[in-house]
Amino acid sequence: MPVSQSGTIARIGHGGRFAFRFMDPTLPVWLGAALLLIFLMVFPLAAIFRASLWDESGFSIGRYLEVFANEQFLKAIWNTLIISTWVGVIAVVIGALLAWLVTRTDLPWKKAIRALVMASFVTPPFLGAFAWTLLAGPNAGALNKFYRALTGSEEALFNIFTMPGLIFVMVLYSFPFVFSMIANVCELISSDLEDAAEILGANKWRIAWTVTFPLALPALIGGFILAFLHSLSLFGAPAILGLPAGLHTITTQIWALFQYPPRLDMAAAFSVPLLLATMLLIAAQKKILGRRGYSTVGGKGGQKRLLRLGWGKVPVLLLVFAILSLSVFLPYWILLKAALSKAWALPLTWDNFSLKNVSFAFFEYGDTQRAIYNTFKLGILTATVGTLLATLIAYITNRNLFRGARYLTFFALAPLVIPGIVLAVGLFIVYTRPPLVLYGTVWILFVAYLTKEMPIGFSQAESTFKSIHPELEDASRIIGANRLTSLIDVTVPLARSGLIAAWSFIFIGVIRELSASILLFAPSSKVVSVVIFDLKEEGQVGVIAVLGILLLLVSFAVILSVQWFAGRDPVATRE
Amino acid sequence: MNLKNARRKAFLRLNLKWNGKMVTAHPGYSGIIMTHVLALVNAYGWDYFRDLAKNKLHIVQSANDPAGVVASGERPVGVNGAEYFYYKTQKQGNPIKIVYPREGVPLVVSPVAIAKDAPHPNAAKLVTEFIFAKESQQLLADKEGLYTGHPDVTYPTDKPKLKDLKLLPADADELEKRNAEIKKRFVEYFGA
Repeated sequence: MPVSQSGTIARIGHGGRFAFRFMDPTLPVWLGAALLLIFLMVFPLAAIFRASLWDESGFSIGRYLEVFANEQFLKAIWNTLIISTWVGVIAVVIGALLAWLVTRTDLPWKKAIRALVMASFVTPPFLGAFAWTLLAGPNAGALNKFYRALTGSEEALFNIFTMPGLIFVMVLYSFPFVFSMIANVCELISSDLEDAAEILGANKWRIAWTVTFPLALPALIGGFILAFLHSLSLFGAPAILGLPAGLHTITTQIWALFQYPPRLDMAAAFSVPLLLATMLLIAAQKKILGRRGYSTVGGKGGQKRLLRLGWGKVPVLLLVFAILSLSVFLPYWILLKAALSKAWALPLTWDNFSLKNVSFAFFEYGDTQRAIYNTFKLGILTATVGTLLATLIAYITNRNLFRGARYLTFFALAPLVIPGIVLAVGLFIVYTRPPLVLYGTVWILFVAYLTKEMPIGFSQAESTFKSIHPELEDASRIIGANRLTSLIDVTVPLARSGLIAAWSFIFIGVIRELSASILLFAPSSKVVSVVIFDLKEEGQVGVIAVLGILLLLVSFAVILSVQWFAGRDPVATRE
Repeated sequence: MNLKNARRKAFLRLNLKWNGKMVTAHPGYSGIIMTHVLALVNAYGWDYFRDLAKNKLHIVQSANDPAGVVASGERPVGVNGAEYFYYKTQKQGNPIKIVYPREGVPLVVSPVAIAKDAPHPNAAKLVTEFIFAKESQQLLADKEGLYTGHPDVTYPTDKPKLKDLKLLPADADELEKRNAEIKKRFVEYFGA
């Protein structure tokens, strides 16, 4: 608001009721949240740009030239684009199919399917990748051994250490993001429009194609971009599955640049083009979708009716469980087996059974206990602060509270385009020198996690707000509540389940975070994911399995208690 | 094949037989492997690695990693990696064998140094003396399977004596100087 105008208002009202009516007294809260967000995002990004352009000898674009002249780097970029595009496409197909099946059809066992999708979501991708090396390594992999025993063949059925193998594993742990996004939308679209189409004589497939699909299109494109960007920033899976085959992605290439002698400047220069490309992608998404929203939920409730699958029920159900066994049953089975046996590759007989891995993991291996404490402390802290901030920011952008508010979306989503490992370099540069030396403490991890998880929390809060029509809030404001009060008393309760989902998304995101932690931990601030990565280098399969299962169990416990408290499934909206 | 008189190049000659069967660690991530590569490049030239790379090796990072890959059965042969880690893996009951090729094995030293402007130089000296005391060195030999510089340390009988092995040393200055070149060539041949 221009100064002169507010001055006038203040004079008219003598700081009294008029001023209150025109000058939103809650403005400092919004501005504060916006500034904190900008501060969080700009610092590490500025550090990266700076490191890519300046060194002791001054300004130079030499590093960029070096990046684009280097065949290896270009190959890493190319690999990443191919992998992420495939992951995005396949994840949307699987995620959308499952989401549509459980929300809009009469498929049985929906609760079980949702629970399994949630289990895939909760599984850290590096753990899934690790489990799949045990399942589908060309020589020692359990499935390949089984295949050879069955057919007498010399060849492996499937080699996980290939690009298709990597894409496959990334899809398994990216599609739940798409699922939750699309399930949210499918839940919110009422059947009124579909009914209208039906009255006009369209059959059910035509309705799905011409009514439901266009309504869900923003979410489909959003889901593709989310899965694309998620796979782009993954580090553990490509490090475990790609590197053994001589396949670099951008994240592993950046990790390689940190190795002795570290080339942080090159890493920075290498990530800047990526950053710009992803910004363009998000801008394109905005352009394509334009103002098309899907705010079909208002103060008046609509109804949704379920499509009858008829005879298709059984094959569809089989397909669904086949997909979910790839992401859940098989990996969990092999981890459990590895955790409880002396030699993971042998059958789990009584002779092979042992709890040694468990006792070693918790009581003998020096790093575990503190790492577990650090992990869960950081998880709870980040989730709580992150949800609060994401809620405020999403509200600001959604209701366009002040000029330029929509640009906050860019800041909130910015970390999506920064692989965690690059974010870590930025934070490393910023927080290893005064005025704020956080390196060596858990707080640098807290800042990293808060930054990194903001897009997840924000998009969850944002899509929830988007689906809640402002008319309910307008009612409360007409009665005289200020913005903050109506947010707290009207919108947040309506959005409650979405926000609880945001909390658990962030918590689970934090406890499985690897790519930023791997650079930012110090001996006293190790977290579980880092300990697991250390153990991988020592080939401690059983101990990794034990710690992995611990992460999974805690994640499930969180989700179940959230369900119990909020009466709701965090991976989708209301039933 | 006869493991006793094994030569590295034998694995290359039997090209097809060992294709897809070997694992290597990476000089870009491990100082041990960096030293290993330099020593072998000085002994055979880059041709050795160029030929080796044609066998589609499984590539891991840490020098500790190949032992686990071999023990798991994912690849039957590890072409490099920390010897002490293979030894430890073997002692855990994994059916693996360590071969010391006749042409020689790269020697990797792990020095201890005191930083020039260290804030507590005397404490640092004490730590150094503690580390180089016979008891500590004996512990490293017994528990970690390492060879140490202390003359009085005794070794397990199932390990060859250091003096019986032909050692291929690598010069530290040369290592520093050729670091970037070695990384680049290795990536060129092996893909990552």
